Amino acid sequence: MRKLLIAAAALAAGMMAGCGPAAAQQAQYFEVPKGGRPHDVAAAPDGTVWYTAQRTGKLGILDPKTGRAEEVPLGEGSAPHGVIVGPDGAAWITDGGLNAIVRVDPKTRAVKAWKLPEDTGYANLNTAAFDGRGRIWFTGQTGFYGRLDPASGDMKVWKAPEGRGPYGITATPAGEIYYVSLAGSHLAKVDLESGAATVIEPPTPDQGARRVWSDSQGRLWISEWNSGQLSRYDPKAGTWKSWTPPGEKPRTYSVYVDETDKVWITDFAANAILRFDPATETFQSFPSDRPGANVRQMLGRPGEAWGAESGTDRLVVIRY
Amino acid sequence: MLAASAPSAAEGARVFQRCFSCHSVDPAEGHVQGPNLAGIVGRRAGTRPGYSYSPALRRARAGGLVWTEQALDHFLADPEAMIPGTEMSMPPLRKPRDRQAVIRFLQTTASPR
Repeated sequence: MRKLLIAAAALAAGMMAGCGPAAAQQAQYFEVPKGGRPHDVAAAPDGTVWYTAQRTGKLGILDPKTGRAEEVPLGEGSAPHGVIVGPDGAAWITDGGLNAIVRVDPKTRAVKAWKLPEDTGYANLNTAAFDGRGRIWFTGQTGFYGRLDPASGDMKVWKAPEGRGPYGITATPAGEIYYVSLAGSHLAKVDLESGAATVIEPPTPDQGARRVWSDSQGRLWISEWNSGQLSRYDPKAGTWKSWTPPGEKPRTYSVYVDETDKVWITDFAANAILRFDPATETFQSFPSDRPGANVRQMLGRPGEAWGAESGTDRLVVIRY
Repeated sequence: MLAASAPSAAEGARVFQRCFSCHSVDPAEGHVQGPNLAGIVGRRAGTRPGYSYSPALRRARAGGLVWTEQALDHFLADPEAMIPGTEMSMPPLRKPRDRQAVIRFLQTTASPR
């Protein structure tokens, strides 16, 4: 059964500029059903915005025009973590509770789940990315990564080379797949056919790589939870570069690169979303208007950067 | 009619796989994403050295929260309800037996020296 809820949308008046020029952008907040603790977001092709209600086991569908949020139950025991838009226009979810990859049809709301193989055990499924060949790759934080071909149903799961920790995953414009390990503090590149993962060690030890995103040039941007840094790895040059966000002891959780190659991160310590301009090497801060926002992931579409405030049961968009 | 047996530590170790990606219970290891949980049962909340606790856990510590079996049971049943603002994003462990099993398992872990 679907549940409709009228959600209030609140405009935040004026933004603060952390360390860059004054922000002309505005943040808009959308209340979603209480208690869901929205974890990840994805901007859907039809103009809606999807989010995972991790605590209540649902996929949320927000219509920003009306502020209405609809939630689709994913099944008994569901605890969805990540959601992305697939090449078929559907929502693809990494569901830690179901230990399955779940697809939700945006038109019919039909839910289909592909369970991980029994012998894998509990994987704590985290995040997913498509490789440009129609296959979805995913991470399991207990020490796995895997691949599902939805067309054939073929699923393969591999043990991560350094055990627990695989968290964020991304595809480059060329369709290459990289993931990062939070517990293992490294980046890894996956061979699309053999599935073998090659570890790429960063120069900062124990940095706590949580999420990763590719820019238009195939360079990998990494949010580092332990070190607080934002780092970039250039696969062609084999070089790393890091920047530290402003403030004391930043706790950089998520990273997303927009269509203009600006880099969006979230900092739990500053309770803020930050935008980094690689050209000027400056950060611009968009603090939440409520404490404990805990934005764990961002994603967007041209002109819009979306995040889920897991601590306040709201979605936020910054238009630029 | 036989009463259901209490869950074993081994059963708890299996349930703890849900927690393993963020928490170590090896006293020789450091913290992962979450604090090391070795010897947590009976310990005051938010006091494991070397871990940067969230403001919510620091408030719980200041309030005198001790991780008794009962407190752990309440927390695992709904972390966000017991400690609003906790950064632990694990969904609730809804089955009482799973919670009892995890607590039994945690009781077998040794506190770091």
